[in-house]
Amino acid sequence: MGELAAHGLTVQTPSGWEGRIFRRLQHGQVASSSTDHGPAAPAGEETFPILHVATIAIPTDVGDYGSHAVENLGPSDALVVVKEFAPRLATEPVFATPGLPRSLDVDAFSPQMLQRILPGQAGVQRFGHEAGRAFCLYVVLGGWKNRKQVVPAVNGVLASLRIEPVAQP
Amino acid sequence: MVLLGAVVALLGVLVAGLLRSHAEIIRSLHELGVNLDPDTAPSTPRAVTPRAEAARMTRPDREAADVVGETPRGDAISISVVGAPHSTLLAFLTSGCSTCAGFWSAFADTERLRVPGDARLVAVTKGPEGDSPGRLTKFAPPDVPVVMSSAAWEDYDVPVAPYFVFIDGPSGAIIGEGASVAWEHLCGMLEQALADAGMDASHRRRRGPTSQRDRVARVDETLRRAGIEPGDASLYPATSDELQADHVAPPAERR
Repeated sequence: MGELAAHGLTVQTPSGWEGRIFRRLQHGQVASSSTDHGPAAPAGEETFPILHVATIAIPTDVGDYGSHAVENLGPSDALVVVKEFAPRLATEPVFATPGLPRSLDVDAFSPQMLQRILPGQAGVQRFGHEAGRAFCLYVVLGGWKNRKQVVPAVNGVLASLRIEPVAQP
Repeated sequence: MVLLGAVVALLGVLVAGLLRSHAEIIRSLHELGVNLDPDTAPSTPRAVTPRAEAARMTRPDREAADVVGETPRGDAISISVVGAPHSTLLAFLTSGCSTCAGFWSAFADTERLRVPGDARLVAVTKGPEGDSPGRLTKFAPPDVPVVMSSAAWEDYDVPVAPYFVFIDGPSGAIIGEGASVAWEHLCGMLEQALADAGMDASHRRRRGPTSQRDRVARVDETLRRAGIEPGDASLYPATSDELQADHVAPPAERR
């Protein structure tokens, strides 16, 4: 088991899982390599931290909600995404729920709750605020039929998630 | 007198340090196949002989470990090695050594890069205290994750750079490890090690995530099969209505 910590987020990756906590380039920063996670944000847009943890090898150019990765999920695989939004949104209705869930109900997953519908997959999405920060939690299961076996492992990862307040610019 | 004694002691420490550094350099060169012993050296000018041409990878008893560290940009990253459904080739490199530069270049050529055993390739450097994140951002290849982790160098007891470790994911066993001076030499060593272990050494596409180049090629092919060539008007909708439409009129019709 390894601990990932960056940008005020910490998570444990169990054996067989891997992860990243990164932030895409802000407007004006120059992309120079694969470690930059794509081009810089356009003018007027900000970027915020993203956490990906998965049972598969995560591509270097993975999308915020796991595009380029979800198509590689097998029937027993899972991808966990924690995507942060601007802290000023933490008081908006969509992020009004206090705290991101650390445990998800097996029956909360649905094949219809996917950013991109792929056969056999299922997802769940939750919004909330924690430590003055606004987040979206998005989890994809590679096989909806195996949810009873896979969701407990997902919940183990979520239980290890720590979110700390960060200094506002 | 006391001052003289202190100076002598200081010089002694310096000499001891130099001797130790010298010994480490000799040991590293020896592991790379360079023999500096004058009794065994040929009379002709000495050339560096890559050990990979003659040597084989070793198979240590050491256990493999997942790799956890940070990217050159300071983000957090962990790579699953033990228990992964695929094999992993860890390439321990630095941003400074000239031999490593050849490997960085080879890794950037995603079109030609084929890893024996269909393994996932991961570059591992020392942590920010031992290598330069700034230099590494210039080297980092487009499709190969780069992890800065001094702990990984310790876990795998890396003696020299460049150094390579091939791990079978499902069993977590280290199939082979060793130093090499060029990608072609390394591939030969890996194929031998995989054959010795009874594993398939075929060079298929790089294992793990599909590369961006692969995806672009696949999308281009899909569009071509649908009759959409580069520059087709449907690829450049001018309005949101056109974006939603099943058919986009060519530019001449739009006007």
